[in-house]
Parts: sequence; structure tokens; C-alpha cells
Amino acid sequence: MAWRELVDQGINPFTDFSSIMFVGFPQDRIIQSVFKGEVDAATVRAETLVRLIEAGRFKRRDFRILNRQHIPGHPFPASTRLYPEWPMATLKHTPRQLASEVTQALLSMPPNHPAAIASRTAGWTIPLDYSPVTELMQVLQIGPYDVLRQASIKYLLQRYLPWIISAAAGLVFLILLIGYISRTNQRLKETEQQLREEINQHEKARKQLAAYRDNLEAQVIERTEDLHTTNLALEKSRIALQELVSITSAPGLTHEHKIQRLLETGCAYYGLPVAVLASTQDKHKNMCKISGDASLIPRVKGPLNQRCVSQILQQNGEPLDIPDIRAVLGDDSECLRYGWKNYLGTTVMVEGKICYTLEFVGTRVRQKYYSKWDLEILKVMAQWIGDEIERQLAIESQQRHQAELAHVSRMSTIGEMAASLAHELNQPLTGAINYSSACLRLLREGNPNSEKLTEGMERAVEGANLAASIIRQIREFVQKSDVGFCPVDVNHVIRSVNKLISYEAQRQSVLIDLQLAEFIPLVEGNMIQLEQVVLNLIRNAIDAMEVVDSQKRKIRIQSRQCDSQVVISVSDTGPGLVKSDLNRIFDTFYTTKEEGMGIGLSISRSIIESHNGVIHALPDAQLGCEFCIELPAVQAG
Amino acid sequence: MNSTVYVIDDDRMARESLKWLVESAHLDVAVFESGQQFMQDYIAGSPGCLLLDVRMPDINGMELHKRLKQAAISMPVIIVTGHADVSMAVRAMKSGAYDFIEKPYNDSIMLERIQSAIAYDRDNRRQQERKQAIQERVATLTPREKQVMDYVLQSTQNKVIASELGVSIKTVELHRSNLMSKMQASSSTELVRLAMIAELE
Repeated sequence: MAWRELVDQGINPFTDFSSIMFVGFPQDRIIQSVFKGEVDAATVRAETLVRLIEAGRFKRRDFRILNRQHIPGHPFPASTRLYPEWPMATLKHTPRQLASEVTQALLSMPPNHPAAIASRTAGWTIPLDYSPVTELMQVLQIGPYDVLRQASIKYLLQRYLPWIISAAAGLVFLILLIGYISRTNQRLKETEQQLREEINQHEKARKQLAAYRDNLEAQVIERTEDLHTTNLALEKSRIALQELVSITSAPGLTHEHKIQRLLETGCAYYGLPVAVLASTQDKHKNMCKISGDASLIPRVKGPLNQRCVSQILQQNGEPLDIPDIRAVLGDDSECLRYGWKNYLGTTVMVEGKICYTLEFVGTRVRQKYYSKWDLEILKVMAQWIGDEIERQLAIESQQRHQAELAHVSRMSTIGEMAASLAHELNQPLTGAINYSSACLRLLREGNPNSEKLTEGMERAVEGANLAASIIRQIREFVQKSDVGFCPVDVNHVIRSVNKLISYEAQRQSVLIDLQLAEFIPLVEGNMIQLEQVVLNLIRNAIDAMEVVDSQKRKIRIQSRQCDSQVVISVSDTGPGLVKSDLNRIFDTFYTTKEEGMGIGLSISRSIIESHNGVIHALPDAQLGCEFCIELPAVQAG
Repeated sequence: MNSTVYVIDDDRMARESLKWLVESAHLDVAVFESGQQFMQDYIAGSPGCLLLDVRMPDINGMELHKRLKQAAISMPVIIVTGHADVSMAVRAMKSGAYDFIEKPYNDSIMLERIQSAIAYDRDNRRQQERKQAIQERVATLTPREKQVMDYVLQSTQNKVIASELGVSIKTVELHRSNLMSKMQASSSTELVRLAMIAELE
């Protein structure tokens, strides 16, 4: 009843007060508690307080009536509205049968019943108006209206929202936590699995290792022996390789020597008495190099054994190793005749094609095959020989090309000099004709002076010879010189060129002054090509001096020795070279002449370079232009 | 005085062989190594002809030819060349060379040219001598006689000459007979011929 009043005042007794105590009967104890100050307020039956004051146990002034109601006709002060007293009620769990029997008993109880007298009542009846109680329970949503409180979600929400939210948050957090934990768990499980596998493997490996260790000692001994053998083989290979390198990189050796030495190295390495390098191609049929004991070889041309060679060619670059030749070839007549017992051979590649075969034969049956190392060395050797041949071919082709170019250039030089050469030829020819004609006249006149005739004829022959020598000189100059070198006297070169150019020089009023060293070492070279270079320089000088007064045209040609070099210098009194031209004059097709081709100097340079010499224009020539050729002198002895 | 063939060539073989050839034709030959040497040694007025090699180191043939003309050495010049080129031939002939011959040459052609040149020189010299003799005769004339001769050469009548010169006809006749005897002319026709030879105006 008090609850309802509190609710009407907007107070929730279960939350708004610091505490609630239900003291129970007798109600005197409740008033006692208020009086003692144990509680701030209390609710009791209206009659109780009045009765206690009348009995003199408390004083009226010690209490205050809260929310005092003014109810007409009601004798006691009250805080709540009035409700019927002492109703009959059952609890939820009271059996219906029992409730019905108790109710009937109470209602049928007469007023003089001892129980009625003891309770100072007239008995029990049905209430006249129970609506205030019903209303009360309705408002407070208790008793039969408790359902209302449960159904109201809105109320619940309103009432418990913070709790619900925090509970939901808690729940979500919990779910996440669980998810995280389960994932971590999963991982842990996987890791564990892996670890377990690894441990298994380790275990397995450890077992293998143990087994291996047991085996190792025997192997170590075996391997040490192997290693020793391999070491020996390696050392042998290293020495052979070193030998190969030293042969191929030796500057002084000719191509022929290098090949020969390579073959000798092969023989020494394999302990075989004879090696043959033979061409497999028709065009190089004569190319055949033999090293070692020639008495073991049937012919000087071609490969050792055609059957072995055809087998090698099918091996695709792998060497053919036959310890016992009889087991493979049977009673081959050649083998029997020359006593060949074993065979080793491979192919030599030149410019990516198989061009040669390299073969060895021995006179003893070998107990075993050559090792892998040995065969590798053979391959290296074959490749080395191939490279050497390739390089030689390249050099030859370059030399051929250069010789070709030089030849063309000489032809054109002679063409350009045709007029003066014709004049040069005409002089002795005219002389010869004149002498002959004169002698003929004397004869026709019957002049018997044979001395005079003889002299005339001698002079005619002299003239004819002179003409012939000039023709020979021209022919030599334009002929296709082979690229062979021989010791050459540069003074001879200069004089010979001087003869060839003298008419041209004379025609241009150019004086040629030869200042040749009396003794000069020979140089290794090609006479004609060197003549060509000197002639080029002189003709350039003559051309350059066209612009100079004819009285001042002079060419000085010097030869001298400078340390181990033989120097030829050609200087003129022309206008000299422009600095900017100096770097380019040796370029092909670079020319400062109107009718020039720009070939002369570039050919001259390539000729001199092929002679291991240098040619350069001196930039500080005082007057005109000076060209210097330096060639290595042939060492005496 | 015999004609001489002067050979100038720097090439010994060409020079000597030509000497032989010319000698074999019974002609006198003098050889020189260079134009310079020839200019030093040549005795002015000697008859003959010159054989010049076109190409020589100090003075070339063409240059020498020019210098000879300047030095009034009038001799027919035959230019000999080893390399025939038309422009040089044209230049040689234009500058008054007598002939132009190319090496190697045919001996008979060469000798023929030499003979012809010598003959030309001889004629030339004879003509020159006659011209000189007539000019010497003209030099003996007095100025008045020279004046009268000029009128005679123009076939002017005596009386016209007399009136032109303002003298009597008799005086003109006297001058005329004097100059005719000095000039050794028997008639006026001959006088005209002499005048033409001496190239008198």
C-alpha cells in the first residue's frame, strides 16, 4: 500500500532508497526501529501507532505522518488510501482444493466460534468492494497483474537498457575472444603438427646420419685414395693446361710452331708416341700436321684411320677412346702393319664446323680407359687447336684483304702515273730506235766501220734494256705480291721508288734529295708494299707542292736507325698540314685533294701496321709536312 | 758555212742517240744538256736548226723557244715531246715552232723534218742576206734620192714628182738616174722587186 503511494510520488522504493528492511510482526518493532533511528521511515497499520501512543509506549511528537490523507469518517491518521482489511488469499503454489476448503470453512464459521471470539471478529464474509486492492495490484503490476510487468518489453528496455547494452557488448567481446582463442588454438595445432613432422624427419635424418657415420670411415679411406689419384690427374692437367696457354700466348711463335707444340704437348700428356692433325674437308686436304714418331704413320696426308674417324664424326664432339684397338677394329691391316694397339681421337671445330680430326695412337694395349679428366683435356686441346687455326685463318684473310686493297691501290697509282711512266719508257726506247736506225743507215751506205756499228748496237741494246727494266719495275710494282715477308733493305726500297717517280718529279720541277744512312739494318717486310708506301708519300708531297713556287719544290727522303727501329722520313716544302686534318688523314676516304680518293694513306697505314710498324705525320714540321715510318729492325744474328 | 743541228735534251740517251742518228745522215750535230748551256755556247748567226725536248728541268722547251725569239736567234725549232698532247702541240706551233714531233719517232721522218728545217733556214738566211744587201744600198741614198725613190715605187710620173717636190723635171731625172745606179736596178720594175724583197715601205 505504501509502495503505491511512493510510486504515485515518482519514487521506486527498490532503487531510490539506500536500503529496505522487512521487519515483520509484531508491528511494534517497526515503530521501535523508527524511534531508534535505524530507519528513516516505515509503514505500519494506521491503528498500530495510535494504539501504542495511547498505551503510553511512544509520544506523539516523536513521529511525523508522511503523505497524510484526509479520509472522512476514518478514525486514524493515514498515509495511504483505505483498503479492505484481512482478505483471504492464497499463494501461487497453494493447492486449489485446500484453498477452496479453507475458504468454505472460514465463510461458514459462526460468530460465536471460539476462533472468532479469539480473533475478536464476527467471522468471515465476501468483501463489499475489493476494487481498491485490485486497482492497487494493477498499478503495481503484482499478484495477478504480474503478467503485465513481464510482457512490457518496452518497460524492460527502458528499465534495463544499460544492462542490456553492456551485456550485449560483453557477449560480442566474448564471441570475439572465443574466435581469437579458437584461431590461435588452430594455429597452435598446425605448428604442433609441423613440429612433430620435423621432429620425425630429424629423427629419420639422425638415424641416416648415424648409419652414414658408421659407413664413413671405410669411405674416407677409399676417398682419400681417390682424392690422391684425382689430385695427381689434376696436377697433370694443370701442367698440360699451363703448357697449352704458354704455347698459344707465346708472341714469338709462328702458327706452324704453335700447332706443332700443341701436338707435342698432347703426345707427352697421354704418353702416346704420335699425334696427327688432319683436315676432314677437301679444300684443306693438304693441311696435315704430324708430331712424334713418323715411322708409325702410313701416309703424310689425311687422317690416321678412316674407320676411327668416321666413328669420331658420329660422336658429336665426344672423344673416341679405344684402349685395345684390336677389340674394336679386329685385324685391321693398317693397325697390324704399323703396330697400333690403342687409339685416341676427337674432332676439331673451326668456325663452328668440324674441320679437323686430332688423333693419337699408341703401341701398347692400355689396361683401362682414359679418365674423364684426360678426355676433358683432350677436348680443351682440340678447342685450342681449333681456335689457333681460326685465328690463323682470320689473320690470313685479313692479310689477303689488305694485299688485295694494296694491289688495287697500286694499280690506280700506276694509272695516275701513266703519262710520266710513258715518258720514262719513251726515253730509252727512242734512244734504242735512234741508235738502231743510225746503224741501219750506216749499213745501207755500205759503211764498213764495224767498230762504229758495234758501238751503236751496244747503245741500242742498252736503251732497250733500260726500257725493259722500267717495264719490269712497273710490273713488279703492280703484280699481286704474295704476303710473304723477307728481310728488306729500306734504302733499296727508297732508291727503287725514286727511279719510278723521278720523271713525275721532274715534270713537276720537284727536287728529290735522298739522305740515306750508309749502314742500316734490314727490316722484315714485303718489298713491294713498302715501295708502295714510300711512293704514296712522295706522290702526296709532289701534289702538295703544286701551290708552291717551282723553284722551292723539294722533297727530302731520309733513312736512319733509331735504337731498334729503322726510320724512313719523307718531308716536303709544301704548305703543310692543317692541325685539324692531322688526326684524320689516315682515315679511309678522307682526302684534302680535289681529285683524291682518300685511300693512299689509309692503305699505307694498314701496310705499315701489318709490318708491326707505325706511320705518323709530324705535327711540328718546320716547313711543309713530314711523314715518319718506323719499322722494327731485324735483330742481327 | 755548214748548217748544224743543235740538239738540246737533258736525257743523255736521247741526246746521244739523236746525235748518232743525225750524224748518220751526214749532218753536223751539236748537243747541249740544257737551254742555258746552248745560250752560252751558240755563236750568233750560225745556221742550222734546233731540236728541243719539251720537258727539261731548268728551262723547258717552250720557255727556251720564247727566250730564243727574244734573243733574235732565228732558227727553225723542232719541238720533241715524249707525251703528245694536242694543247702543247698547238701552243708550240702558235708560238712559231717550225715543227712538232713525238717520241718515239720514225728515223726517216725525223731526218726529213731536220732536212726540211735546215733548207728552210738556208732559204731564210739567203733571203735575209739579200734583204740586208738591198737595205745597205738604200742606206747609201741621200734623203732626196730616197724621197724620189718612194715616188718611183708608187709609179708617179717625173713631172708630178717635180711639182710635188717643187723642183724642175731635170733635177728629178738626175736624182732618179743616181738612185737607180746606187740600187743597181736596171728598170723601175726591178726597183719595185728589190723594194719588195727588202720590205721597203
